[in-house]
Amino acid sequence: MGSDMVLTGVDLDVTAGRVVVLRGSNGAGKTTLLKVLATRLRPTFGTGAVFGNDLVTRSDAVRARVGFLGVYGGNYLMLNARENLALASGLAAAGARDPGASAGRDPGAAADRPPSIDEIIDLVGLTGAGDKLVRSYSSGMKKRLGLARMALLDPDLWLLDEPYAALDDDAKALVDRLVVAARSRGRTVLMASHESDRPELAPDAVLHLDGGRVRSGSAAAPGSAPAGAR
Amino acid sequence: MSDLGVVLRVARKDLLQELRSRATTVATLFFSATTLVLMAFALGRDQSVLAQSAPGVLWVAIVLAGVIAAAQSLQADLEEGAFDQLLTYAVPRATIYLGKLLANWTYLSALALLLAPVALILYGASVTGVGSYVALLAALLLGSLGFAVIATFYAALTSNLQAREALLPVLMFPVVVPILLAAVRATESVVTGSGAGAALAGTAAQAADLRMAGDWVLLLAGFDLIYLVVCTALYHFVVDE
Repeated sequence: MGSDMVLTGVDLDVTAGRVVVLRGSNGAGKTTLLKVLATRLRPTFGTGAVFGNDLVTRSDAVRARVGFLGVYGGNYLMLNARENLALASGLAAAGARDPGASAGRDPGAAADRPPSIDEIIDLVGLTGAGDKLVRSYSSGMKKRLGLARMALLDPDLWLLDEPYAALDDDAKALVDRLVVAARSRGRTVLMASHESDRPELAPDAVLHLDGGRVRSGSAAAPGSAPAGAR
Repeated sequence: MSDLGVVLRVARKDLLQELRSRATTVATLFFSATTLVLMAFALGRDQSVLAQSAPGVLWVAIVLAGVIAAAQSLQADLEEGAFDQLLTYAVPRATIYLGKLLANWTYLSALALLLAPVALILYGASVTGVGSYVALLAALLLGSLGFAVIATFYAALTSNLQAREALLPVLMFPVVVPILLAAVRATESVVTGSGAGAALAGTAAQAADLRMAGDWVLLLAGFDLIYLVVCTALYHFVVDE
């Protein structure tokens, strides 16, 4: 990143279908790692792959299977919740139609009827606020809308950057429920979080990022398919 | 959904946001109206000078307002990390660029079509004949397109810079000069009182002006095409960090 190395020597292998929590102090490189995996940042050195797709040479294929929720929610303030979700759904569907980009996508993802936008809005507790401009939302409501987008798109790899930030207890429990449900559908979840007491989440691994390196913890199972960055 | 569908979705999103916030509309209309009025005062009472200046002043107003629009065009995307989110979808970067370009072009064209009659009336200039109107329309639409092509590209290029609003015109103006020259010349050729044949009477002079306007419009279209191809091809280098 410019003249500073944010991540150095990160060696991470996340097993598909696991929930992994990434901890670390401010500036440790958690967001950078998530953005690299979401292909928003290109690694200066080293290689990485998501579901076997190289982060640089097959970035479209990576994007077709990855969903990213940034710390600010990533919503358009002058659109309402329905319009934000419809835009996300349309663009994600356009990416998924490319057979090269979506190769290897879990066929189970399309087995069930996908939830409607109305159902998703109800699910995240924004009932009645779906037609209001996001500009009028509180920070927590914006984060709920971001979670709604993740639940609607249901990517194979969920990348969540501080998903509990700005949320009340009910909404934090909602994050837990969404992540646990995603894991039950075989999705992989990698989240950066400072929340230490989330027993409902029951993560499969907790990793500590310090000074740009993964200092402790393991998220890999022997013989499992890699879905991470190295 | 086809690539065209992605382009239309992105464009609709941008236009919908502008229609609701009206931030760019208010700023650009006020700025361009002020430019037209101030220049009219500065040029004095000589009717022939005013009429001859109309095409140039019109494009100055469009371009200065266009810079404001370009700077604002990515602002809504940069808030709340929405542009980062947009770039996480597996759609070609070119479709995102073309969508934003379509929105910017629509806005700039509407602005140009609104300012043109105001400038003609204010500066006492006129357009005669259907052919001249068609040439003027083509000059306004193609000039706006060329400007929007470059503005959309450079707005993304400078989006991560701290002084982006100051750097945007500095970086953009040298590149946009060929577009502006062709647009001003095409407009000048069909505005009565400013074209080469204005001093001569008769349809032969008008026909000569119309041919000249046609040549400039073709050159403008050529510039637009070159810039469009280059900017579309390079956009992913600009937005991928």
